[in-house]
Amino acid sequence: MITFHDCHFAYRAHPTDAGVLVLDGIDLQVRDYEIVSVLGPSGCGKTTLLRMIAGLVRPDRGEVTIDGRAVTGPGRDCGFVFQDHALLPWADVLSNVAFGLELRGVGRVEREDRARALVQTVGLAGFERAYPRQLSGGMQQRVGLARALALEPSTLLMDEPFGSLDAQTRRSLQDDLVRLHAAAPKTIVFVTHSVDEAVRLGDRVVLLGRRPSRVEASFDVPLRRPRPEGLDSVPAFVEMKRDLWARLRSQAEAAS
Amino acid sequence: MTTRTWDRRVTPPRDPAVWRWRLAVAMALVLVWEILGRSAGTLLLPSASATAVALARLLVSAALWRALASSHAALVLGFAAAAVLGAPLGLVLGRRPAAGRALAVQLDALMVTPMSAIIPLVILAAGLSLWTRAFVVFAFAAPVIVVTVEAGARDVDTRLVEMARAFGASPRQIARRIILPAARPALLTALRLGLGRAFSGMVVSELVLMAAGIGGLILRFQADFDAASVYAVVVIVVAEAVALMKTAARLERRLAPWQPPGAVT
Amino acid sequence: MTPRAAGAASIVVTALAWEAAARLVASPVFPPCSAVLVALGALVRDGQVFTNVAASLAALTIGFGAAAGIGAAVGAAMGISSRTDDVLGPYLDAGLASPMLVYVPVLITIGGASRATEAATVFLYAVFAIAAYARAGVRGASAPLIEMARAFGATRAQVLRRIIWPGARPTVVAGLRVGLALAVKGLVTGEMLIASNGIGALIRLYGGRFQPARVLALLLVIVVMTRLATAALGTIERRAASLEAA
Repeated sequence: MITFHDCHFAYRAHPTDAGVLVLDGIDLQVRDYEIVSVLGPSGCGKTTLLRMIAGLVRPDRGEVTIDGRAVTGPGRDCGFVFQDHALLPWADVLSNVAFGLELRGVGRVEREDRARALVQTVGLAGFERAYPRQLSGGMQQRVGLARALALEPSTLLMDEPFGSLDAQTRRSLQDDLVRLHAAAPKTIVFVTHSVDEAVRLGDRVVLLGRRPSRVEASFDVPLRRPRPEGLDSVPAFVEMKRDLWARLRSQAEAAS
Repeated sequence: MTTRTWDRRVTPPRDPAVWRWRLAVAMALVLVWEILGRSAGTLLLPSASATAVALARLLVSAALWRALASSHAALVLGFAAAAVLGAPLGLVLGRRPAAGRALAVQLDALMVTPMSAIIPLVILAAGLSLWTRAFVVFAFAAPVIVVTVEAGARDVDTRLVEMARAFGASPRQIARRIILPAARPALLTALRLGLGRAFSGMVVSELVLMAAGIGGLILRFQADFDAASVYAVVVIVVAEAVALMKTAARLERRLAPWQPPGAVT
Repeated sequence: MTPRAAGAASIVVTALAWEAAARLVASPVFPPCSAVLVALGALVRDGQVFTNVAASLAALTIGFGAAAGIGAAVGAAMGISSRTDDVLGPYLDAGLASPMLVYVPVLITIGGASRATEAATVFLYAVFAIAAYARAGVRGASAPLIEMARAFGATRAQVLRRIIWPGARPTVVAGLRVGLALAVKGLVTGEMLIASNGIGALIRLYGGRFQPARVLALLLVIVVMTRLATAALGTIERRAASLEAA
């Protein structure tokens, strides 16, 4: 279980800056094997939440714990999927997927075997020796996903991973993610700015307020898994999206 | 190997007429040169044909090859030293911004200073030896190598560094797995630019005050009023310079294909 | 600390380090900073520097001016027309790759050891880099913007003036800066080889007379001269920009 205890964070361009307060007392729990979608206006610190879980930044005040132990630095049991893929341009698909294993000192034969299996899982068989620049955006993000999965983390942190993809590619990656989660459940924290994506993927949708932000509300998605085909016409799904839209709109109106 | 769709390089086919145009222009230039040369007399401006004859004679002479060997000894020594010392220094300066800023003024001055001006000093210090020429080559090549590598090391994509941190990489691992490979295109560019400067340094050191190697050969022909041979040596030097740079550029593309060629020169 | 202050501090530290190192080594060919400044004072007092710098500046102005005009024009033409680029490309490549000084003996066979030869040397040193930058700048003009302008019915001349030139301008200016530094190198190096006066000739003279402090003093003069010339170029560029905007 991942827990935020009253986390504060100010963004500083320089260590001595006063900084811009981004997170103003975040309290949040993410249960094991749950998919939590984090939704909120841009600049509200969604990404910072993920970076805190990963141990890339530490809160100025408060703390993040995973299974009761405080996060003090990176390298814990988390896989990270980045918005801009962040693939190594000089390495082929297989080496990119095996990157985390390589860092842990896993031997070449073993890590390539495991990477090859994962490349297959994310539907990129045949592209093992391709370089990132030779792949489309969707394929690149599949590599990013496989790389995060390679360490067999119990938690997957996803930072608007499908944000830059076209609608069709995006949908197919969403479906794949749901399938992967069903086959091997993981705790997933999924940051997005798409209401549709948040509801489609999440067991729960957490809404952040404007900067400096707190958790404004948390909604359980009233749909059991596996979710039915034709989700777009399921009344509960449509209703929840409408409610969330209304919340976001009133948030925006309150600000202006 | 089977061709995969993603493996297809997209290069527009060159218009075959281009070669006809190039040939036509080159032939026109040679023709003008020939006519000018014949009307001016070989003493002042040797014609294209006179230069070609001198070139043929030169290529089978031992003097040319001795001169080339002597020149290239200095080139290799000086360039190797510039690469071995300059590249690591550039890496350190690029990753330690405070150090980089502290030396920015000096490096900038070194980049624009005409290095030829130090030749008299180097001669005073070390005499007219191979080491003197090698040092001049070094002084020509080192600044551009340091500056180019520094820029490359500084501009390493921070997102990749962050990614590696998220995957638990240690500072050492980040240096080896992210910084070094990310700086590789800049390193190769630095070596190519440095080689060009080194070649210049070789020629300058030999023409100015030292009269050694291939430059010395030029000066000797000049003193003998053998203009055709002067031209022939110039042709050889330029041909080698162009071949070296082309090869270096090709190697650069081959060894760091992920970087589109960005630099202008 | 502001960058300017940091730069000044850095220069002072370098001067002190130079002074200390030179006194430590105590080699006749590595004079300390103070000795070089004294030598500079002597050069300034007897007025030699000024006459020689003036002679050099004339060659620099003519050579660099011609290189700027011709280089930018030819480079821009290569950027616009792929046919021109195809035909002239090999010559530009060769010019960029060549050690320029090797052409000076050729220039001497044509023009003798004259100021004209000197200006031609400056021209050759600078022209290829300027052309290469101009070509890159024009080529880098945004294709979507050109498309947009065409869609709005812009003529070829309008596209050139309103889209391509503003886009290419920073790169062209960068090329002029690079070209100017190369021009100074060509000036000094060329003078060391051919001229009987000018700053390069002075360097050769004092090098031959075993006066390293004077050689280094002249190097300082060259560095300052380059700085001033770059600043002058910047002023001209800003003037031109404001005239254009008006």
